[in-house]
Amino acid sequence: MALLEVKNIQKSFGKTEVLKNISFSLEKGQVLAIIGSSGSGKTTLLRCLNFLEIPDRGTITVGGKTLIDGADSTTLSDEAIRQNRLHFGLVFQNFNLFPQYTALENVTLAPTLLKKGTPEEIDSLGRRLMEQVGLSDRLENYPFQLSGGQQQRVAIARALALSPEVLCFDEPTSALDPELTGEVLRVIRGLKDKDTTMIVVTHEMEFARNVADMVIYMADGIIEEMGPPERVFENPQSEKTKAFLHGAQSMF
Amino acid sequence: MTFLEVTAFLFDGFLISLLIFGVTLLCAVPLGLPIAFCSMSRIKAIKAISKVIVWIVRGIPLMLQIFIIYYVPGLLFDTPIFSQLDRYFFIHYSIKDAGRIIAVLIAFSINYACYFSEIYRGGIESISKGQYEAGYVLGLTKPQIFRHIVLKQVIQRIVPPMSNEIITLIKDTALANCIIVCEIIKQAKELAATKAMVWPLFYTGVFYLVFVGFLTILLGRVEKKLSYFRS
Repeated sequence: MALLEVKNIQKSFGKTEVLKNISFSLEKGQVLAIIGSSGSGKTTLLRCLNFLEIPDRGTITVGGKTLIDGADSTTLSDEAIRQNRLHFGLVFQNFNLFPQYTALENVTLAPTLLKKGTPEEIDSLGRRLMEQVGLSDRLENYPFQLSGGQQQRVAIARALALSPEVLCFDEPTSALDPELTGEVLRVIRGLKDKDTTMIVVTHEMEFARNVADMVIYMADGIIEEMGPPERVFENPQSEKTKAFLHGAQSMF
Repeated sequence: MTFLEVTAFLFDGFLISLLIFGVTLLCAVPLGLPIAFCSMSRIKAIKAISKVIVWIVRGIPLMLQIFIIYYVPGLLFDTPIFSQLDRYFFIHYSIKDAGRIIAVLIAFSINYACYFSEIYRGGIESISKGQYEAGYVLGLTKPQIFRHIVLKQVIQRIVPPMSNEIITLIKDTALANCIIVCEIIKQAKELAATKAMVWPLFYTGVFYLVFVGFLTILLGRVEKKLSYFRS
């Protein structure tokens, strides 16, 4: 059975329908890349998965447990939403690190407040994760002392600290200088080797093609094309996908 | 009167100024917080009420507010509480002006709480939505996010405007002499009236300057201590 099952998600802001009947599923250990132009609903979809937006209709199921059901208000209480968020992690485009905490403290803050272990356990977890993202020498630095790429890697470690079942990335390299995107993408690729289930909204077509197991192309709030990267990139069926991929290539 | 005697006489008044300053801060700093939260409330009625209160308190002179607090209980309910308190404290504890000082403290606390609430509100609203969202996706509760993520950033941002208000407060204490509280300027005016000495009135400025100098250094240190991070 699929780890993540998204069914018929619909979301409107006022009169604008941003997501129209989105459905897909994801197996454990798979990496899903979501591509598409701005305003196609990619980010809103990711925000729905993290309950930063509540879908108007549809269900989100993780490991057989329905976390949210637009028709069932008991899944919509603040406390239920807070608990269910823990199934997902989210790495933001702008990192959103906590400026008053050191890199290590950023990673350990949530496990500490949620009492996910003894202080010693949490500390060693934090150090291990910082090592995993290659920042063992930056534990005591504050976010403003780190480069964008380093900040984003701390943000990844912070999201991993609660061992979410699905880790989501919202354009994780879009706010970075081109020379810094590589270090972040390498960390994400490293997570794939550890069988982390991930959803990555990205404009990095090469990355999507090489790392993803499945690619979704979104346009105007619907899934225009979905499939393994070879098919979506080499042999797209929809005219919209063809036009988008052509546009993305011809930029250079 | 010698210079020393004048200094001692004025210093008695300055202690009253400091008392008004200290107690007002102690009351207004926490009282500003619920007012700030009310003015950001999603419930429209609460928001409207607190906006109107802040508008009134910031909109009329503090001196007038002192008069209102001091005289209105007597005029409306025929019970001049504050002059009764004056008498009570004088008879039982031989403390002068206690009722008047309490009236001043009430007026000052409300007034400064409203100013502080606007500074708090500005500080809280200036924190990016991303900070809250980062807390939410980590499964933190709203109180945890406020206490552990937002609060310190807010404090860092409000220290400079708060410093301004705090420095204004010590000078505003002079307004207490409108209901004849013996703060330092009232003391100096007393000397002018009874001993025909005008220079002590100008000399009071030295007291304020010394204290403001001390405050500036102290608040500067607080600001520096909080500058270890950038948000």
